[in-house]
Amino acid sequence: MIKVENVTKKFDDFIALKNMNCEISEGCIYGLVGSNGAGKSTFLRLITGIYKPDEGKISIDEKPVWENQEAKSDFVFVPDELYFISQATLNKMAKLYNACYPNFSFERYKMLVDKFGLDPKKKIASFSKGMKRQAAIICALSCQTKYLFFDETFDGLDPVMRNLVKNLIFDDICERQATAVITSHSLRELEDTCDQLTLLHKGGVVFESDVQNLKTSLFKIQAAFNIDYDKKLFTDNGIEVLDFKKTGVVSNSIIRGDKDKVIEILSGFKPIILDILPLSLEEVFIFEMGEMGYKFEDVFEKEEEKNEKK
Amino acid sequence: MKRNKFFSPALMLEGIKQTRVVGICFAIISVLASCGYPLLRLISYASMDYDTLKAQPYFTIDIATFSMPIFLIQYIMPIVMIFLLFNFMNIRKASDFYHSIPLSKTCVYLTYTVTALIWSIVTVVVSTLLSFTIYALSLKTVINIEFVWPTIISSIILAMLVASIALLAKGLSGTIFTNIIITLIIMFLPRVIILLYTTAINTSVKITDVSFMSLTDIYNNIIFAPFIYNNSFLIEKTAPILNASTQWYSLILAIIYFVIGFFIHKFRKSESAGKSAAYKGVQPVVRILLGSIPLLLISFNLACGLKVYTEFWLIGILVSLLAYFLYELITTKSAKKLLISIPFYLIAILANAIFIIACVSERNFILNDIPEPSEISSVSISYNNDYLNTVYINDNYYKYKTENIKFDDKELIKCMQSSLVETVEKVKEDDFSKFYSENYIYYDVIFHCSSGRDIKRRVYVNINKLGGSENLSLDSYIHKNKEYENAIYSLPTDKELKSINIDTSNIDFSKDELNELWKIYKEEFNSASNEDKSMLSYRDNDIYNNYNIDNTTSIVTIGYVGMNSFSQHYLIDAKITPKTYNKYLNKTMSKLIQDNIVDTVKKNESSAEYFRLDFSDLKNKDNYFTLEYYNDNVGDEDLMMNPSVDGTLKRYNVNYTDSGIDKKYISDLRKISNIIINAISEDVDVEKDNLIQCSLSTNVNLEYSYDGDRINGYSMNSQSQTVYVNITDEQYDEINRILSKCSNHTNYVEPEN
Repeated sequence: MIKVENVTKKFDDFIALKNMNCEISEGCIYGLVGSNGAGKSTFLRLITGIYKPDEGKISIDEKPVWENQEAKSDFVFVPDELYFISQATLNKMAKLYNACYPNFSFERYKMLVDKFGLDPKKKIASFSKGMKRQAAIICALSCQTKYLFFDETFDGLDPVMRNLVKNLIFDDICERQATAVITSHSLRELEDTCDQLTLLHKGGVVFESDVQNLKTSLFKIQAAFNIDYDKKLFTDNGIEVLDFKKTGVVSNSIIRGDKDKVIEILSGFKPIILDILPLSLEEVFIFEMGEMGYKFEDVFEKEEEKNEKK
Repeated sequence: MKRNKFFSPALMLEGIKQTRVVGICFAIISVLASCGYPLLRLISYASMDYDTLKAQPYFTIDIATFSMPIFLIQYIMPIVMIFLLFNFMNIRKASDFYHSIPLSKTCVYLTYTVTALIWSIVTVVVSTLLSFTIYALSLKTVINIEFVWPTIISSIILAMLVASIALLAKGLSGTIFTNIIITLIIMFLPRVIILLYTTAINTSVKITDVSFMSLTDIYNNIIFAPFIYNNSFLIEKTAPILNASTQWYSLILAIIYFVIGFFIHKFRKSESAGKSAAYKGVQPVVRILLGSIPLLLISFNLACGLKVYTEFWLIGILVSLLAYFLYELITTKSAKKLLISIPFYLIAILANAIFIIACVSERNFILNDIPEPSEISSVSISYNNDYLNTVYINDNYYKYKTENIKFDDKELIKCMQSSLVETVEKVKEDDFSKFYSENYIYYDVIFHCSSGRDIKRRVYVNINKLGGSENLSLDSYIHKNKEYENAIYSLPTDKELKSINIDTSNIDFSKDELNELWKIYKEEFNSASNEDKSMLSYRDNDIYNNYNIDNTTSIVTIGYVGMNSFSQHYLIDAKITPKTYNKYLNKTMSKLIQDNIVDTVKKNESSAEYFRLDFSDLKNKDNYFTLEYYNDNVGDEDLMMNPSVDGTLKRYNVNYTDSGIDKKYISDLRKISNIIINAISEDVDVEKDNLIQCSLSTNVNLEYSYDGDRINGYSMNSQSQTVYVNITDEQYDEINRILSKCSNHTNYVEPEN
């Protein structure tokens, strides 16, 4: 388990993280989302012992991380800005990792190299950006550590590779009870991967929740009734409505609660249309954050906007 | 398996692989530098014919020649290796990587340091052994295997010191530019400041040599050692780089730097990578130091009491400001920070003011530090080499042997104390003219106080102070001390002696030959009178009356008295040390060399345009002359200048100074050369016969330079050889007769037949 207790990190006068608390249990994939400058990378660097917190403490399996060789043997970190030795090949980097990590496996390394289809004898400097990221992932996964930290690693991968990496992580979690912490500034990327999600904004935790709970606790209902109705039809019957829009006779509502129970109640009104639509994580966040007084646009870059920029 | 917290063999191997290209390049350069010269000698000898080879003298390699190329490479190599291995400290993502891996900072620091040093050690060992092997295989080369170990030790210590400085610099800064600047500052600045400080005080005080437990001795830091040589060429044979105190001092300094560097690396943050300074305070300190350095030269002059010209002031301040602000601009690229740094420039000025104040304070303290006679328990008087020995003023064996002998004679103490008072008064008046008269000589005196303190001063003493008209009065007091007398009339002990060689000889002696020579010399020296001993150790002013110094040959001894290295010359005299002299001549006048000289001169007789003969009687320096004449068989007779002879033969009461000789006498003059040539092969008996040193030069090619039709000069390519010959009285007379005839001297008497 990773425990972060009241951690604060400053860089000169700038507070990167303030009084951060979180617990990451074993055997899960933990997602950390937030916009640029939210503190995601700082957080990862703190729990991997690169930075020393100015206040608070961080422990992995009850061992302090800072300057602790034993604790560091249990994790590997793939940063957003990758580092390779000058003029190194993948094989050379593997040897360096092997020198550092006690459980590094060349067997696994060879298997991963084959799976990703990279040439281990070619200089990494000649790889594309995505291939470099794959190389870093190969080295990291070959270390067979208990904890894996990926800082915006998926951002540079194509969907096929992303899927491959995801499955490899899943394998590690299943086989070795590994724990992965992945950061991203895109909810869409983490949606299908993470078990838990934490939202960071301006150095603090805004929101933390189990993903499954998030997705099932909120849902969208599209309904139409013969009778004249409004939002009161739902709320008077004990249904928690977060958002209600009606166009003609058809209404779209965002509802929090037990899906089956809500269906049962609404069926009693003999609806012409009654459909349950799944919500994307983005939509869930919009409403959850709205409840907390945050505007989604202030915290996140929307997927569409990101694509437009690309 | 439990992993070592402090060292990772696997990381070390990876480090070695990462740096192998650079390491191998340095190793090759080191091998080439150290083996190039002996290899050329080997090739050159291999191409000679047998007879020429046999005639060549032996060539002795001194330790400085041997070790210097290997040594000098270690100024650069450790810096480059450390900068390469620890380059991750300059790049943010690399620094993050090294902080995230399960190796502690301690482990990375120690492992990579060892990696860098391994390259240096291997390079040094391979270069040294290869160089020695090639020298040893070189024909006619004498090399001492004892050179190997000190060379390796000193080179490795240098590598360690340089590496530790580079590590320190790397820990304090995060860009390559600042790495280099800080490395240079740490490497040179402290010692330069100490040197300037001590020099300023010594210059302004004049009567003392400031040294703080010898730590300020410039020799002690091995980085500076190769650049400081004693005036005596042969002091290089135990060059400061191989001095034990230098090695120990430098090793301890390296360890101190390593330890400081360790803590700096340990507490350094990963996020400081790529920044000019890794810690707050480093940036302003470096900036202030850079701004202070040009001002220091001005401060130094002021502290010495010297005038500083306006131009010097302006240039100094300008350079100082440039250094200060340029550094800030280059490292921070921020105009705002540049503006903030302006007031801090005052600290650079303040630092220099402190330097001047410290020098002045020290000067005042020294000048006012005069113990009363009652406070002085004894004095040590160092043998005054500068005054008495005007031949080899850097000979200092007797200085070190005498400086610790304590005199507790009350009269002497009182004399020295009052002399000190007088000397200090003159220093304060800045007027030493009184001391430059014949009545004053100076001594280096240590006043041993009852409190346990020692005060070392140069004291000008009036030689009449103790009564009597000559400095013998003072000497008589000093010589009452048996310990002193033994010290100044003894030779260096075997324990003190490290090296022996023959000065002014173009023949090189092997170690065994030198040891044999020294053994004989010791016996002869020890049985000589005290006056002769003074003469032999070049410590008698009369030596100039008795010898033509340029023609003397001496044994040069080099070694240690305690931690002080010394050199001392000992005259090889035909009368006082005849056995030594004989042995020396037998070596220098070997049959092969004799034959070589005779062949050369005879060969050139018909083809050389010019001859020169330098004749010098070793038993009587007033019998000498130089003879020059031209070969009338070769060249344009009209162009050839008249022969000339210059010198004196006191033996015959004849003075030949600038005596011109008509060209018609050239064939007669040639007879003098023939007398010498014929005498060469005679055995030399130094005790009985007339022993003459001759230098015979022949020139094969004379080139004239013209001004229109007029000759206004010439150049020549001469072959010269110095020989020792046994001239009989008859031959001596014949030479004089020929010279007198040729120079039309009035006391020439034509022989009867």
